[in-house]
Amino acid sequence: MGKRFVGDLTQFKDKMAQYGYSGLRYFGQRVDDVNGPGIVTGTIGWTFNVSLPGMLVGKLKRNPYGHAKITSIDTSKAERISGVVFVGTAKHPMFAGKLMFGDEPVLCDKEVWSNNDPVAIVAAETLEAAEDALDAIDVKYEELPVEMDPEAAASPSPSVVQKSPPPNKQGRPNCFTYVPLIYGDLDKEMAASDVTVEMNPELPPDPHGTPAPMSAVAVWNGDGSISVWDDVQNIHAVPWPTVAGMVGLAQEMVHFHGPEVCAGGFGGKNAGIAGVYAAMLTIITHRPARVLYDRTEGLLHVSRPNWKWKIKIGAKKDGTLTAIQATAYIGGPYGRFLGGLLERARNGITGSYRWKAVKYDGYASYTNAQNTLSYRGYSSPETCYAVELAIDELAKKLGMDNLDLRLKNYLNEGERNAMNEIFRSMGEPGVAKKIREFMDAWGPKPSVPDPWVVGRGFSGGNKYTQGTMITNTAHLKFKGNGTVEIITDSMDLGTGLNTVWRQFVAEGLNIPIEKTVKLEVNTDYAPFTTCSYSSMATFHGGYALVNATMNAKKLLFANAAPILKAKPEDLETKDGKIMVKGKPEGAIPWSQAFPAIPGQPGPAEELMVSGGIYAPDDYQGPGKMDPATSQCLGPYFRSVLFHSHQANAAEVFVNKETGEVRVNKWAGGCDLIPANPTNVEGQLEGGSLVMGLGTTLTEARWQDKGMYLGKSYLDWKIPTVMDIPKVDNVDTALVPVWGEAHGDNPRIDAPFGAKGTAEGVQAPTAPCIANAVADAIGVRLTTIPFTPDVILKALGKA
Amino acid sequence: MKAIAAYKYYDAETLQEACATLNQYAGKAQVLGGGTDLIDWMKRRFMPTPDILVNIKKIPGLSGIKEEGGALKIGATTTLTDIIENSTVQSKYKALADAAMKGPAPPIRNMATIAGNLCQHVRCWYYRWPDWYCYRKGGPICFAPAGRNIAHAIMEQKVCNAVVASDPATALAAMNASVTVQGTGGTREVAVKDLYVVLGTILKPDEIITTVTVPEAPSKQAFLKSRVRNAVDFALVSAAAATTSKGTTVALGGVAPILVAGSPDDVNAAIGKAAPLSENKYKVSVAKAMVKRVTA
Ligand SMILES: Cc1cc2nc3c(=O)[nH]c(=O)nc-3n(C[C@H](O)[C@H](O)[C@H](O)COP(=O)(O)OP(=O)(O)OC[C@H]3O[C@@H](n4cnc5c(N)ncnc54)[C@H](O)[C@@H]3O)c2cc1C
Ligand code: SF4
Repeated sequence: MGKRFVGDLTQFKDKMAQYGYSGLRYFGQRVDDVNGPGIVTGTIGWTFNVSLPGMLVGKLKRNPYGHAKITSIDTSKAERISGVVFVGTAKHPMFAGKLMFGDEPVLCDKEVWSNNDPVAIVAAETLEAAEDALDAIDVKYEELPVEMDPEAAASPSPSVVQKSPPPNKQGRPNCFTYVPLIYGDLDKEMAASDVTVEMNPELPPDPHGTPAPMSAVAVWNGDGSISVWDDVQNIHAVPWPTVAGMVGLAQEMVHFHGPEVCAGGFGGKNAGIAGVYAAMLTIITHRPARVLYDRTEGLLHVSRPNWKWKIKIGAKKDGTLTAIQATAYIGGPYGRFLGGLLERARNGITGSYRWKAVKYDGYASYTNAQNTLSYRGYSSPETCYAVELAIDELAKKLGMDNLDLRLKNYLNEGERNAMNEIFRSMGEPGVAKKIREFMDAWGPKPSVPDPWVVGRGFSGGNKYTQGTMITNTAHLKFKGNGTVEIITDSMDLGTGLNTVWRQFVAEGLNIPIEKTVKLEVNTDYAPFTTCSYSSMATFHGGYALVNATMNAKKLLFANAAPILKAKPEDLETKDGKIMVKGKPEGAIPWSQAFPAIPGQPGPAEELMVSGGIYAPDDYQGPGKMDPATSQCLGPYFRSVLFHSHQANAAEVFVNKETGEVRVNKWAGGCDLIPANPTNVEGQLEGGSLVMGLGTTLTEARWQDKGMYLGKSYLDWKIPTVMDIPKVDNVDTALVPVWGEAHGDNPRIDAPFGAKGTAEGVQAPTAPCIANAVADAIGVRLTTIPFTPDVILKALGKA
Repeated sequence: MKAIAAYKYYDAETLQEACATLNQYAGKAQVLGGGTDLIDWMKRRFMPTPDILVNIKKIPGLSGIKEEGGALKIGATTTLTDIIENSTVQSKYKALADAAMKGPAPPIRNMATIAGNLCQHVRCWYYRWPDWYCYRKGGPICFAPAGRNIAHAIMEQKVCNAVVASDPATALAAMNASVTVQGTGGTREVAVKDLYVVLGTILKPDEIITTVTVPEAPSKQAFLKSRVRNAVDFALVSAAAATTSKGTTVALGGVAPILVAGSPDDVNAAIGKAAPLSENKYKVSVAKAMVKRVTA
């Protein structure tokens, strides 16, 4: 086993105890994943485990082309196949609508904009009948020219204008979203730079690659309502309103259930579109219906968009950064989350460095590439890739150590960044130093036999989670037997969220974790807490839960005070009992302090308490952002919920004859107070190392005229266990950061100091491996992935 | 999940029975070994579903590894795992064990038979999906030259640019191995290096591979494979060399629709004449370097 560094939490322990929490008895501890046994045995409540009697199999007929006109759809043969219950096209009013941003047909009938667009739907008694029916549907197409390049698509005079009427943002007919950031005098600062670096990093599409493809089950309840089980990352924000809206039911008529654990999301299960089709089929057939994407659909239905960057950065001779100009082009067949991606890229460009001038232009345009969604870190990895490659090259040009260059320019705690936000909880210098220390401890580069060469790389990274600050609520239900039920939405995506939320409540109430239970996530009783995307669930939901425990204690202490003949502020709680501080002798159980029901003797059997509404102490909203410059106006307004930081180091071996690249050693860390160190290490190893390695080295996305070729896990190459470094060669570091400017209150800026650490930890990985490869072969490659052909081309051998 | 269209299934008890059934269905039957390749085809439906599968795994005596008069005999239904774990193969025919080991992942190796491995269909991504009706399927054109061809052939392309996918085939060709083929009309012996022709194998519809024979344990041998990912990945290029009393034979996989095998000089000369496609010129360097390595 490599190094497992967890920074000293002693000082936080005392502070937590002082504030009436357990003093890190439960938080910050290595608690086993509560869902572990269920995941291993397969008994967990995966959505694809939901099975109802008489359930129909729903399947979509997908378009094979990149861009085509549909000339005819003939379903007559399919309808005659035995076992086929329903065949639908856009001619059926149920399927005539548009999804998401209103530009995406539920079923296409005139034109298809991307490979995998659905053109017909089938419901059948068996999978066999459904697939035979798909084969029997005869769709005639007329191929149209494809545009895969998001930069060309954003041109003021593009080769094809994709949609009618043209969205025409910034005088660019195909461009439908533009996100700017303007800060300082770019021309002046660039001109005043002694050194500049310019490059065009590119990150082509890469699917999410979830362990299980999307699935949903829906059933018509007879009273006009439907129940839907959907394998999604959130329910309240997107899937529930989307399903209800698309089938024309009021939201309360749609009983929406999330999975106990979502079978991998990485951003790709935020929309829950399979649920829309399942809901439509059950309303039409009045039979339960399941829509389960196969592996190919799983790889085709969403992906990272193609990211093309033009980046230029400047610095003074002494390494002081001056200016950054970055232009991002992304594209996809439909609007979806592309604007959100560009906003988060803007946030990432802004930090972690101190720039005198920043100009960012983000363009999202219509292309015929794969459909998109939020993706593995919501733009942070793509943005850090561009910035950190340029920083690495800048260090070389300046002849400076690349860590020294970074340390010199990192923003300070409490400083305002280029978006005029107050910068909080800045742990990047600590993480970067720790990871560098690990790398130095690897010793000199090993000698490897010819034709292999060795390289080492380093990168910092940031993930600035953007989000609203007012939509989170959590309920806690206290039972007479001393257990507490956690009623929230937000899915555990295999990340351990179900465990971590229990740790929050256990810490807040000072009770063993076993005394807490997280209930099923559904819209019948769960409030809108937060979403498990953009690494925000721990942060957001954590706030709501900490707040709920505080509210509960206030109420319980007020009721217990007369019984214990003490003032509420002199009371404390431990293991389900309330006592005068330091006097466990006279303790009473919580249940005695439950409020009485008027007219009834004794306290109520149960107590329900809520918490929520996050507002950090330095947030004096609402404020606003100037859309023309992305400057935050007002003294305190922030668009970023929390700032989290990471660093990676890697040692790679490159075979100069075959072009193969192997990561031999790796170190990764992040800044936070870990709710559960084991979980965070798991995120670092899985989310940062494995996914980052895959996207940088193996996950090439082949297509021919917009028709994707990598439609199986054989041709789209996610790394295997044979591709990652040995366990002994993997170091991780969790560097605590509280936020100096926040005084002593453990609630400020991050609940108990716990920042989200999910997909964001991937931010430094691609640039780190790219920097290592550049070190090994002496050639700077900027377009990932670095497959053997790319390496050999760079070496002049292809 | 993908469903398989309806088909018939037949458990053959003797080779004669199996060949007769294949003959009767005249090209619309398929021999079933481990099914790891065949079932994928039937699920994806990129080729018409066979009318019948003739399972040969129940035929007595078709599985097993033995040494006979200095030669190694491997029964057709012997699995790749059996080959990897066999001590004789490990000690005397290591290049074959290495090739099987670097082939598919363990769950597939447990199912996959050696004859099935040799007869597996090409992995061309146009071929493997119903969306492209290419030459190998009976269509009018090959999509690779004007399309995406990073993994395709750099030599010996005629009408099809797909490459022999089997790693064991490369090792076996270097070891001068042959296969015994039985049909309704009797048996014949075919060198592994001659097994492949541009659009498949030389096997006739009624023929079954019964045995793989390696005539002699090499005194020196090596197998190398380059790939994007370290497991569950077909070769970009595979190379094997074996030295026997007949001299050194080198074989290359992943570079042509047939096996390229011969003396080191012959193989180097063949690489020299390579005609790479638009995206796979890198394979020429890789092949050259790998021949150098396996013969070093
Ligand atoms: C994910 C994946 C990765 C893989 N990676 C590799 C790799 O890296 N290297 C590699 O070499 N292989 C690889 N393979 C291929 C694998 O080795 C083959 O699928 C397997 O060897 C086929 O053997 P089988 O017995 O299952 O054949 P089957 O699927 O049963 O048959 C395959 C073909 O051979 C025919 N056939 C079978 N037995 C005979 C016989 N005795 N006589 C005549 N014809 C016969 C069948 O009719 C069929 O056409 C991979 C496969 C998968 C699915
Ligand atoms: S290389 Fe062969 S299999 Fe591939 S498209 Fe061309 S003809 Fe078909």
